[in-house]
Amino acid sequence: MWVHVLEASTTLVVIISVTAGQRRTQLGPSEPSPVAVDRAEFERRLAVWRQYVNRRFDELPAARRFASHMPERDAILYDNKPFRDLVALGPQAIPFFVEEVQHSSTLAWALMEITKWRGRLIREGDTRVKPIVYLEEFPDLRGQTYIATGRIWSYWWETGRKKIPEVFERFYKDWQAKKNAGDDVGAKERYQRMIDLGIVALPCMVAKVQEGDRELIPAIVELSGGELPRAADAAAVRAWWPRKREEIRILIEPDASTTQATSAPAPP
Amino acid sequence: MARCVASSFPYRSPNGMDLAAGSKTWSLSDPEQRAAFVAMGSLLRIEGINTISGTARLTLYGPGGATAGYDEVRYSFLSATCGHQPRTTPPPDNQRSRFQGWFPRLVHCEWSITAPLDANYNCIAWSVGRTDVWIEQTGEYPPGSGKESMDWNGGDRDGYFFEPNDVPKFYASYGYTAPATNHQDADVMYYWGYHAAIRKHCGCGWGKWIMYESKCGTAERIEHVWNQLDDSGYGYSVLFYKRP
Repeated sequence: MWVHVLEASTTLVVIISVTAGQRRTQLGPSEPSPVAVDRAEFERRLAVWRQYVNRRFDELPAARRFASHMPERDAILYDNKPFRDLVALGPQAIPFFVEEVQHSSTLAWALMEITKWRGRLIREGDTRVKPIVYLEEFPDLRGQTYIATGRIWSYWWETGRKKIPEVFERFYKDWQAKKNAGDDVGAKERYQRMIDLGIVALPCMVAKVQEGDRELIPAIVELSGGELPRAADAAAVRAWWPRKREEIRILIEPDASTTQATSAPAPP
Repeated sequence: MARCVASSFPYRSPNGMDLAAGSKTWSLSDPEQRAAFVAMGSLLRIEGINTISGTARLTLYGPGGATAGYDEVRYSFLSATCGHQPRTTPPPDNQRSRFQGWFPRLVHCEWSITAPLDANYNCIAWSVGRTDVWIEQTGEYPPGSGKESMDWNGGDRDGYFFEPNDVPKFYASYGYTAPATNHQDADVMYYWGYHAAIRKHCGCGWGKWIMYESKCGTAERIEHVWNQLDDSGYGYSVLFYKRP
């Protein structure tokens, strides 16, 4: 089994039902996530966000509306309560987001916010004409010149996230090797890449902490999204982990994704 | 008395002569009507829907009402037909006034809406056939974020957007490597105001016009005659690329 289970999951279900309403994103208050997210709720929040964004774009003067370089675009799309409400649906809603992002890439940022995954695109060789590109963490996901946003997230959901424990081990070994070689810059870069694997790497990190590697605690704190204080120690991580583990269960247990997200018909 | 007879389709004229189908009559003995008729003569423009050609006839009647002579012109509409004509509903939904207000060189029926409002992608993305990404000038964005940059994704990755360096490299990464000299032989035109348009090899304007397609910021995608976005915030097309 590739997930490191620290606590009995039967206890954890009770905890999530008590605390789910207190979940907050980094960006500010938002509507709480129901424990089980259904498609109707996802569609409702998506419609509210779209309505808000369309109104904001409609209010722009023509010079901004027609601009190809538009610094305020991200603020309009993401710095608002409807978007925070979408993100607050959390990991349970990821299958719906992945489906939607196939034709609406502005929603990709919600997936980035929820998963905290930050991939790295590598350009193969020196060729500048139609180069082959791939992701450092998933080298089998390749494309010519680019990999489409929807394809990246389909891959991440169906295959990539399941490979993260294996990728984490590779990055962890690289990090240790660079530390041992006295390569501080290289070690720092590898440490960041472990964080970039996102919340799916949390079970691996927590297991390393359990094994005595305290250096990974700051990485866990960062991926906790403010749920753990900066000064958290191993005991704090241990106390926090069972609830977090249940929250992200859909991502880290191969069978959980088929049972947790409920698919109901969208409202008319 | 002169009478202008239009063929049987609805048409409008920007000089105020709006007719459904039918005719309009001027009495040339009335100075005011005569002046209106003369003015109309140099401005008459016919627009139509659901038809691509027709006949306009000008008939001159003598004092007794007998036909003194006539002139007949067969015409064919020249228009952009790949998309739909812009809506003229009240603001803010009035596509025609919104676009023609910002792009002063757009001519009435010589452009059309080819795709709706969409904040997912911009002109640079569409110029390389993509609708899944918004392409900025600079910045390293994680794959899957829905954003890329010309400098990082294809350009020289120096953290700056310098058109002579980044733009050719960016388009080369999509296979646009053959030299092109102007709008006539290019597949993609890049404007100095950070805009790009892709060539449409379509039959608009009976194949006489050189048409390009532009995604206009977060707004709609339109097809237009190659130079009709000039004199706007986009500036002018300055770099031209094509595939071998």
